[in-house]
Amino acid sequence: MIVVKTSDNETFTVDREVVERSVLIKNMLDDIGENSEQAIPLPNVNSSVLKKVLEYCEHHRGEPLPAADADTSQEDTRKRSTDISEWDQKFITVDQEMLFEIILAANYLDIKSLLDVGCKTVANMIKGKTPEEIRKLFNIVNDFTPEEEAQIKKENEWAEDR
Amino acid sequence: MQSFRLQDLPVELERSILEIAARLDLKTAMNLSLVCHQIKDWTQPFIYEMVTLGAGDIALFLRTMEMFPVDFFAQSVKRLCLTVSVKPIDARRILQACTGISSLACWVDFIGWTPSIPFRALLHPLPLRRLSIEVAHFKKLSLPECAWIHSLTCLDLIFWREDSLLISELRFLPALTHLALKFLQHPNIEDSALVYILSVAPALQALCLVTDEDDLEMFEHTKLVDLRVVCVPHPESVIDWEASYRGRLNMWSQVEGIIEQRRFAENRVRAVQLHLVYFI
Repeated sequence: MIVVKTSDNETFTVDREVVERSVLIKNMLDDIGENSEQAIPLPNVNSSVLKKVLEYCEHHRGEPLPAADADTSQEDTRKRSTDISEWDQKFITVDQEMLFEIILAANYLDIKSLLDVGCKTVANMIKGKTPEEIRKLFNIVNDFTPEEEAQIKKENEWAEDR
Repeated sequence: MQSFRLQDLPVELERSILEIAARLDLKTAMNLSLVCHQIKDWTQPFIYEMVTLGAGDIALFLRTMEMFPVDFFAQSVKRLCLTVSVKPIDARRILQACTGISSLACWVDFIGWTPSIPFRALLHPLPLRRLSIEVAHFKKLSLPECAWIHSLTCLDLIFWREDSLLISELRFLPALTHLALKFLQHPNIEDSALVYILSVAPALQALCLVTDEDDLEMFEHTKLVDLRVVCVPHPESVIDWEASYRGRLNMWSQVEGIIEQRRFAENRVRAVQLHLVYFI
C-alpha cells in the first residue's frame, strides 16, 4: 500500500496498482524504491479532488495505460473522438469548479485518460453554442471590432450552410 | 449560465480543449473563430483542415481563397473532398493551392471536360495517404511519377461505368492496405479478378466491394475467395468520407469488424480441428 499526502495535509492509503495510474506518482515510486514508508506529498491537489481522482483510478484499475510514445495516428484518433464512456460521463458530472480542479489534477498527476475525459467534457459544453454564449461560458471579452467580425463571417461564408 | 474558468488553465490545456471542440463540427469551429482574436488564431485552421466542396459553395470558397495568404491553404487543408458537381476548372485552382493534402476525394470529371486539364500533374506532388477517385482517372495517373506511391494506404476506386477489374496499376502501391471498389452500376465481379487484385497488392488487409443493397446477395460468393474480401452497401459518400476526421465510425470500421469476426471464426474452427486430430 502507498500513502499519499494532499495539500490540506490529509493522507490516503491506496493500492500501488491504483495510484500508479498517475505517471507522476509511478515515477516517484520508482525513484524512492519499493520499501519506503514515506508519504508521497501532492502539494497541488487537495483532499476532495484527490478523493475523486482515486475513485477514477480505482474504477480503471488494471486497464492498459496509454504509451508515452503513442503512435501519432492513434493519438490523433483518440483526440478526435469525443466519446466518453457511460461510467466516465457519470463520474465527470460534477460542478464547474470540481471539473476545473479535476483537469488540473489530472494534468499535474499525469493521468492522460482522466485529462482526456475532462477536456472532452469541456469541449462538449461548447458544441451548439453561439460565439456570445461561448464568451459567457468562459468569461471572455469580445475584442473584435464590428468590421473584423464582418470580415471573419465573410471568410467563413462558404461553410455557413453545413 | 455558470461559467468555467477556462482561461485559468495552463495555456496548452486551454488550447487543447478548444481544438477538440473545433474538431467536433464545422459550425462549432466557425463559432469559436468569432469569440476573440486569440481563439480565432487557434481554431480557424480547423475550419480548413477538412474541406468538402460542391457546386453550391465552390464560388464562395474561391472568394475566400483570395482573402488569405497564398500558403494558408497549403498549410491548413489536410483533407479535401471535391464532389462530382465541382467543375474541373475550379478543382484545378483548389488543387494548385492545397498542396498539403494527405486525404483526397476527387470525384471531378476531368476526362469528360474540354478543353482538357492536365489533372495528373495536380495530383502527382501531393503527400497522399488516402485517395478516392474514379477508376478511369486513376488509370491515367501514371503512378510511377506520383510522390505518394509509397505512402498511399487507402484507395477508393469508383466505377462510374463498367470497367476492367484487372487493375495492374495497383502493383505500384506497396503500402496499400485498404482498397474499396465502388460500383455505381451492376457490376460483373469474377473471382479470378479478385484473386488478381490480391496478388498484385499483397499488403492488402481489406478488399471491399461496394454496391447497391439489392446486389449484395449476388456477391456472396466473393467472400470464399479470401476472408479479406467484404461486400457492403453504398454508404452516404460525403458523410462516410468525413467520418474518421470527426472520430466517428465509417465504412472501413464496418469492414474491419467483419474481417475480424471471420478470422475469429476461422481460428475457432482450426482449434476444433486440431483438437479432433489429437483425439483421433
